[in-house]
Amino acid sequence: MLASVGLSYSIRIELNEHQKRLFELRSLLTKIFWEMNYSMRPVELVLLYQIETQDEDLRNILKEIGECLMKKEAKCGEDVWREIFQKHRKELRLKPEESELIEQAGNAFFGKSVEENQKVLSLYQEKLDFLIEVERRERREKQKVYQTVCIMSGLVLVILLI
Amino acid sequence: MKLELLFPIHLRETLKNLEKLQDLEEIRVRIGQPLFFYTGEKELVLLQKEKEGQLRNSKEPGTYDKVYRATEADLLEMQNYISNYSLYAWQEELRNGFLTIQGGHRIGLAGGTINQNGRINGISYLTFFNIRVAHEKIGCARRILPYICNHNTLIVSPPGVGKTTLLRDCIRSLSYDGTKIGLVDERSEIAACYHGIPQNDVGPRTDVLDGCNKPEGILMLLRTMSPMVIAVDELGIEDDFKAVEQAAYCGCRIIGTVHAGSMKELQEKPVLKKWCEKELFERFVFIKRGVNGMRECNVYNHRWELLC
Repeated sequence: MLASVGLSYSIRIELNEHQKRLFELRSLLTKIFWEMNYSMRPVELVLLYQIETQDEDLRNILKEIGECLMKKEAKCGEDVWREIFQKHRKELRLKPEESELIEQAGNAFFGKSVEENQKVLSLYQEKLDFLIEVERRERREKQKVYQTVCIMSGLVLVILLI
Repeated sequence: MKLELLFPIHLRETLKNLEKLQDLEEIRVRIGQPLFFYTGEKELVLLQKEKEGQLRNSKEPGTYDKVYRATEADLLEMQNYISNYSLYAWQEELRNGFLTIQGGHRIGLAGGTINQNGRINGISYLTFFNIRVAHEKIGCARRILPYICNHNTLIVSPPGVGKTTLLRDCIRSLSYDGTKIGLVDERSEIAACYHGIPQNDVGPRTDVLDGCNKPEGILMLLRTMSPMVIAVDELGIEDDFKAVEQAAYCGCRIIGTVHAGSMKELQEKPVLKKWCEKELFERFVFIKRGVNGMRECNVYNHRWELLC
């Protein structure tokens, strides 16, 4: 019985973390844009020195992007952003559509002007908001299902043992 | 920043020793045209990779058949490297047609302009680059310093002859000698600040106001940093000279630079005439290119008499 409650709890935490990461990603996109806009510094410096996040995976990814941009070994910045997020897909544990969105979101930081970046960013944020909303709904449903299934199977196990 | 990092990846191997090229002053990149490298008196061009892939004097016979010509893709790639993939961060610079990169190298830009209300508001596609290589020639001001150190001074020369280099060395030398200097580095060419840290040696007693327009910068330094000397590059408009005058009347000495092809041209500059009559500047250092690209400096006083 305890094990099933534990399992349901861990599933709940996992779902929570997934949602938390999506929120963190959304907030990071906004932070990066505003830091760029405010300081008018190149993306590489913003990513390396100005963006703070509690999420260690994301922090490492942003640092890696900043370092790669500094090396100037890629023809365009969007490619660097996409490739590094692709490389870390597994660690981020996002759904394919979420991963794709985040990989493309780099387009919002390498435009010709702040206005262009802002418009592209709002497009991605809108998409991300939609995904977050879907995720929130799914999470509630999943939680209910997992919780019920876990408790039921726990009860069955207890009955069997008795 | 290494200069070769400004170029497309496929050219970097050939250009990896660019820094070692003696007296490299300027690199010109134009769409569909050869890449020109200017060193002192020489004009070098880059040859195609399959045809040796090296720099050669453009005057050598048959060179033009083998030259590498910059493509649109090359220029787009260069645009990303020059702007650190962040063109948005250089909007103001694009409006002015140039930007200064890490290391103090200045890149002049040309291409299609965006006009708004009859004024240039930016450049839509960049198809011409003029990379002016920054030089730190330590000690080049030694000869003229005794003549200028207690006077308001203007360093004069045509573009590309070395005003900024000489000014930088004046600042550095005076600063090491114990003078508190306030430097208004509007184009980040003198101290070449990157991330707020001067990349060039401007001395231990120099405060730098980076990326700030000259009139405002001069007055701000005057109020906040109590400099003994204010240094400023490329004085040009009336407001610059008004700010210089204000600083000079506050007990500060000024070292500035100004464009002019000759001393006669300088005397006839309308914007400068008024200030020269007021004897705002007491010394004029005229730089000219001598034999083998060597620079010669002549110092004049406010009565236009040659001092050295």
